[in-house]
Amino acid sequence: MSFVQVKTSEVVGKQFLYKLKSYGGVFTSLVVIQLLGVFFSLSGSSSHGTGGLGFSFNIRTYSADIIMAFTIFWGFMTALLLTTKAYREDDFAFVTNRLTSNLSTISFLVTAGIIASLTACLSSFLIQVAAYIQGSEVHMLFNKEDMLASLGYAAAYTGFSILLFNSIGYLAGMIIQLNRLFLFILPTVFIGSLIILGVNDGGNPVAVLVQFIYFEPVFWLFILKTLVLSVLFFALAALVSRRLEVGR
Amino acid sequence: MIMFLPIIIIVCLLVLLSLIIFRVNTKTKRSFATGKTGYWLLAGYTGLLIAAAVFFVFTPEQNASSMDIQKAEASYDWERYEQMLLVGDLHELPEDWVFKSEEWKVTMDQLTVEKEGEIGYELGVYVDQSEDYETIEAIFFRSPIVVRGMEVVPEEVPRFSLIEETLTVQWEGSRDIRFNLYEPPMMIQRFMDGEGTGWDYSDAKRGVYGVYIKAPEGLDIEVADGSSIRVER
Amino acid sequence: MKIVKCRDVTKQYGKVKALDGINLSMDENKITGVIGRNGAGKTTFMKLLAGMLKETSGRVDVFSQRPFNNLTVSVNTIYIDDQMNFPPTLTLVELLEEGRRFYPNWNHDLALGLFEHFGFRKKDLHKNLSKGKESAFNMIVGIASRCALTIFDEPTTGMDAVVRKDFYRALLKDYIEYPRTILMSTHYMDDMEELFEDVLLIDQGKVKLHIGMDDLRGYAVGLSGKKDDMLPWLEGRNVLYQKETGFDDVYAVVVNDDQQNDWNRMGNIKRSAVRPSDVCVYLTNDKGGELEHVFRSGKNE
Repeated sequence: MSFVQVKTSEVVGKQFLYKLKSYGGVFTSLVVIQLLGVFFSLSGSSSHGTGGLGFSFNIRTYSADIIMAFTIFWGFMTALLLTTKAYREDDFAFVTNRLTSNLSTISFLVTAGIIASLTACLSSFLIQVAAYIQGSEVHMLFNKEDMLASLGYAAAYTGFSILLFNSIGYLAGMIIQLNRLFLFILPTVFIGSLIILGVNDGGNPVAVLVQFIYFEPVFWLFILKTLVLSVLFFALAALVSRRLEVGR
Repeated sequence: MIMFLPIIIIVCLLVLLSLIIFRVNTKTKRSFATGKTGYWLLAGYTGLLIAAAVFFVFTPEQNASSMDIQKAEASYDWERYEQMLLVGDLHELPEDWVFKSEEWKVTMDQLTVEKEGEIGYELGVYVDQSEDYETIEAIFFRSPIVVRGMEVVPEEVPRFSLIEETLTVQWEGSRDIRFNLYEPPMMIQRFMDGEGTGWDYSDAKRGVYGVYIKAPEGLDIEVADGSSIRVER
Repeated sequence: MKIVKCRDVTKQYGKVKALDGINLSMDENKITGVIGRNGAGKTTFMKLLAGMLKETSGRVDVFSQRPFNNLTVSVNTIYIDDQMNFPPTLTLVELLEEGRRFYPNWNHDLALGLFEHFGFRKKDLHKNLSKGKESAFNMIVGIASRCALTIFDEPTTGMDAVVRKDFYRALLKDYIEYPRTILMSTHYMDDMEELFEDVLLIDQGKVKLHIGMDDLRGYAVGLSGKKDDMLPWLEGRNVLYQKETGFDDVYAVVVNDDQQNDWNRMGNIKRSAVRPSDVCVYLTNDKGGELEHVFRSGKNE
């Protein structure tokens, strides 16, 4: 019998590859979600305006907003899903400890998130094509230059938002794993604060958080904030997971 | 209360989405073949996206870049045209801006110009009286509508009818001009400089248009709702 | 070297103590059978060793380290049961590949050889396997991993007799070629004797016995004879089991306290060996009586 030692980094690497191979299902849901988003975006949003003599404007606006939002939500759900028993315990068939398990899952989430944000941005081309096909006596107002410029921002924005929501989902998932009750407590707290958000602007933690991140006008600050928060949430989640046992 | 409606819709949508995601991903006994399905789907989808991107890159430029828009708009000096009209230089306008003109003999002393129809009130009436004119001429002119550097020319023209002492300019119905516009996602717009993003009705320059009436000096012309412009040379 | 050391280990779930004050140590490179009734605490014990559970109190040491959340213990230990969490998206052969990547001592030729021998198909999915096939596959993983500490929790569930025999043979062969510490829990006690060097008997969360197989063989002796002859002998002895075998005859199992002289004076009482598996049954049977009592309740006895 030979006793072996192994490095954490090695194990994380192996687990990461292992997860890449076995978690292909998340991409199925990604494609489904994005196609759904494209579908919803196909008719664009119409606005009607007075034009002038003998004509009125009918503007149909297309954008990739919906797809981005769906994808970010997908990021949240996927991270949440990966904390469930079935996925979490995959590692225990082989070599693992809590740290490597978390690190490899997070690495996987990041990778999937990058892919997701890229496809979300590219999907705007799909919408364009759809809009193009739909317009027979319609004039197109696509500005290529603007669009390409926005792609870069969109990709980064989506990517970091996905990361943030990954971390939130992961943390929420771990907390729920700790105790089933949280499955009810967390959504209640969340929805409760949403309602309060409607009634009372600001002075409410969720509102403050949203404003802090999402109304940030400077792009680099946005990235920084998202990154810091994500790391924080992931770390918290890892701490919570240390208390979890296997098979109970 | 109405404010809750969008939230409710969103929540329902989210629930629907999460159900989809869970069903696709949960390790049920009856899942699709191997785990490689996900990757195949991804590959196919990405292929589709790239095809769309290629298509997009090669489509004819529907609309110029922001710079070009500015140039194009600059080439239309609306104020100058308005000035020209005020002094009666109708002939200085580009030929194809004149859509319609009709002439009548002068058989009355007094003429009332009435505007009828939907957007009649918007129509400017220029009254140009001079000794050189022997007939009553009504001319409808219109410049192209410039939307973000792109010209759109609606073809509708009003109907002129001169009955006894009333000249009626009548519009019938209007047509929709449709535009398809792509807008960068809302959330990104904050970061961009706002050039060419989003639709603003001020993006559509309606240009100059109106009815120009040439009539001899002696005729007493009154425009129905009083909004006329007398041409002074 | 003591590969496993337990000091006052207790595992408690709410009010229930699955393990209560376990004290033991195990030498390396032995095959130990973990025996006990359902719910005795075997699985809990083995999962503690594997680092899947954490002890409520006391201390578990494996390779001189605490196994919970421990990467070194994890790479040197493998825990095989019938609920192995293999991802349903990988095929059987892909799972073997993963085993090879994770475990440094993995013997892939052995794995593939066994894989073919037991009739598996490469592209099958783990979740589609029948119970017996699943156990066989998990067993292949366990053997091929060649982990310093290999733990099998009821590995032969669902296997037919032929496959079971093959499994034991394969295990022994590879064990001889590549020694390691093996723990196995099983209900098939008859197979025990061919396989185990040591036996750990757990009953109601406590260690009832932890001895070598040879010692277990001589642990108890069976006595049979007339009631009157037997009674004086049974007094003051640790009687594990007794039963009336006829009108006047009694069969009893007594702990062997090694008094050779007494045997010579026994006269009409016949001695017989007691099989290790039976010893375990008697030791863990807390009712004391036997099933017949249930059926005899109608008569006056």
